Amino acid sequence: MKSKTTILIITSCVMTFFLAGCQKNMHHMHEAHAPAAEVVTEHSEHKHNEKKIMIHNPWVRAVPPVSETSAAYMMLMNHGDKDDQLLSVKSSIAKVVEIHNVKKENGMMKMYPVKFVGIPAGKTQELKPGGYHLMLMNLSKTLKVGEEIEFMLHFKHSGMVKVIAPVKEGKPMKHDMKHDHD
Amino acid sequence: MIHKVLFLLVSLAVTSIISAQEIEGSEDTGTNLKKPEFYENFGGDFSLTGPEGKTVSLEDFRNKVVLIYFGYTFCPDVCPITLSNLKLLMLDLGEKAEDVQVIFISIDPERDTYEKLKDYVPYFHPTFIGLTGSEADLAAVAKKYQTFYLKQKVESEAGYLMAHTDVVILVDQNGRYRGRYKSKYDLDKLTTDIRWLLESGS
Repeated sequence: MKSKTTILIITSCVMTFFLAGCQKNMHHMHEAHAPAAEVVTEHSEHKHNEKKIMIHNPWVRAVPPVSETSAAYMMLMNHGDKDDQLLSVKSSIAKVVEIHNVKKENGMMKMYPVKFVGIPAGKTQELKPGGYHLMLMNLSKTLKVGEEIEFMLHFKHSGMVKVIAPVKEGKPMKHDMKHDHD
Repeated sequence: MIHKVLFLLVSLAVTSIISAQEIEGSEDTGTNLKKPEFYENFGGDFSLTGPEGKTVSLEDFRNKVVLIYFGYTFCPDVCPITLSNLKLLMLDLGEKAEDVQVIFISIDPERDTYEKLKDYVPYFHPTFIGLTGSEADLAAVAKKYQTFYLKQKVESEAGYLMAHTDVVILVDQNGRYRGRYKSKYDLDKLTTDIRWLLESGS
């Protein structure tokens, strides 16, 4: 009887110790989560410090399902005091993403690829219909209105910036016209 | 090469005349409807290949106001912008849109088959049709309508891109050329001119 009690006491001691250990472990796990979150915050702060480019109103043009191409537009704002350049863009939506511009030449509208788009310090560079745009070629799937497409933009100084752009019907040009005259 | 230069010079001369007309034309943006001018030397009947591979002629659309746009489906910006704008114009016209036919003529026969155009063009509006043809036929139609295009090799995965005139051409119910409108800026004027033609009958 006495030995049984001893065993019980020992067992409960072991159990308590084990549970405490477990709790400690759980605590550890919890701690492991917290720093991870901090890392993210740190990372975004880091991003904020280094990346002076902010992107507004990104969108992708909805096109017929048979279309091989589409275009993406957005406003690139450079809040830094150093000129920057958009060098290249990648997205899973298209096999090829190139930076193109449009100009009128000999009475014709001509689209042509450019090596980069400059974004002067403190200025905004707009990628817009009839101007600079991201030319999406060999689309991997149909672009449906309301869908969100992820792009990775590579800037000379700001590095990689992720952009989520919704697919939209083309805006009526009248608005863009007003914009042009602003 | 000489041909190309000549073509460019001619297109430059013609487009400067046309731009002058466009500028003059765009001054009239009042709400009163005004008779659109006649351009006797421009336009005329043509036949090209339409949906199902059948021949489609301008004559098929007598009694309709016809809007013609020269473009290509690989174009991600200027062409879909214009087609979207023409869709809005059709919606603006309401029931009267039944008497308006939009024709998209591809100047890129290498990429744009009639099957492809059949899938592409009606996306913007179910009544829009896309036409194509041989290089020679397309060149002849473009010349009649004083529009220009140039295949350009570019340092791009695209291989080549087409530079092209970006105007919508207005043809009346009798197949007569009645004006050209920059697709970006002159849509209000185009709408008023269409209304004039619809109300007056031609």
